Amino acid sequence: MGDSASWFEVWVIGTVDLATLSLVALVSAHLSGGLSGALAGLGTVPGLLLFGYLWFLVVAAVWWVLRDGGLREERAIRTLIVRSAGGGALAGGGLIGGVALVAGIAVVVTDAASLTAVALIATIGGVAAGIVGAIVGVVFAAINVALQWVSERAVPTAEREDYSSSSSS
Amino acid sequence: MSSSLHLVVRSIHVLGMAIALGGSVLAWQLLGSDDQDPIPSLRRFEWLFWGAIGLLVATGVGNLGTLGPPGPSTSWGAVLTAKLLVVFALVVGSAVRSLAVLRLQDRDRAASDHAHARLRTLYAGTAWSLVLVVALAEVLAHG
Repeated sequence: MGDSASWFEVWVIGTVDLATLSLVALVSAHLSGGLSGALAGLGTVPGLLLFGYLWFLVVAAVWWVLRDGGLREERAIRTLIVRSAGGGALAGGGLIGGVALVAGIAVVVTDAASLTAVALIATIGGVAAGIVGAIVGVVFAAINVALQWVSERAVPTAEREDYSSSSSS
Repeated sequence: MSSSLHLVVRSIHVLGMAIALGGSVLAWQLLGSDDQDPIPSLRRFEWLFWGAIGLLVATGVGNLGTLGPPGPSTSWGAVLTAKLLVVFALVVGSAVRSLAVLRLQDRDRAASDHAHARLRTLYAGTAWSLVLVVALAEVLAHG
């Protein structure tokens, strides 16, 4: 992906997906009354670092999904779904894998005997997060395509206006 | 959290909102003038806008963690719910707008006046939505 327009699309879609995911989680936690408890267990600096890491993972996953063309490119829906599932799985697995790696290092430094248990937990957690991430990736692929569809109708380009006027005449 | 760290987080939050709101108003006004092709400037702003949105969400969660989120059944909790829903709508609406700026940028020919008028409406909607978010944030901050 060499042109800057594609990087622009990756940046916008990646950050849209991240913000949407974060807001859905926040609203759900707030309405269920669990937000206070969830935030209390996460310090500010670790929370910001975790958010930054997730932002990086989501943008990287979107880059991977769109590396051969943006949402407007004609391609088989099956390709988009498979790539979105793969991108979501990598982001989910990368998130839990990264957290487990950092936490695991801290645990193993103080207790080397727990290395096997930490590795096992990280593997199981990473696989589970990968499966959830794949599902979330497909859901967001559908959302992104829907947003593109709405955008094309909210702000028709000259080509679309030409097509509409020629079709109606 | 130490007070200095809290101050840094809140400062980033306020600066992020200043970039998003100030830039949206400028883009809205830019699309109303015929002086130049506005798309390159809009595209530069969109990079900044989404960076600001990411920082606003991150530091907003940090502020909630520091101040303690209100319960969902309280009046402050209802205001927080309203704020989060307005931000959600803002993000979705801004995605529609940004994808339009991307498409117009990709065209070799200048965008039509009709497309500019639609974009101008979307930037105005963004700016007013951000004003509403600021008002709700003030209610939350001062009770």
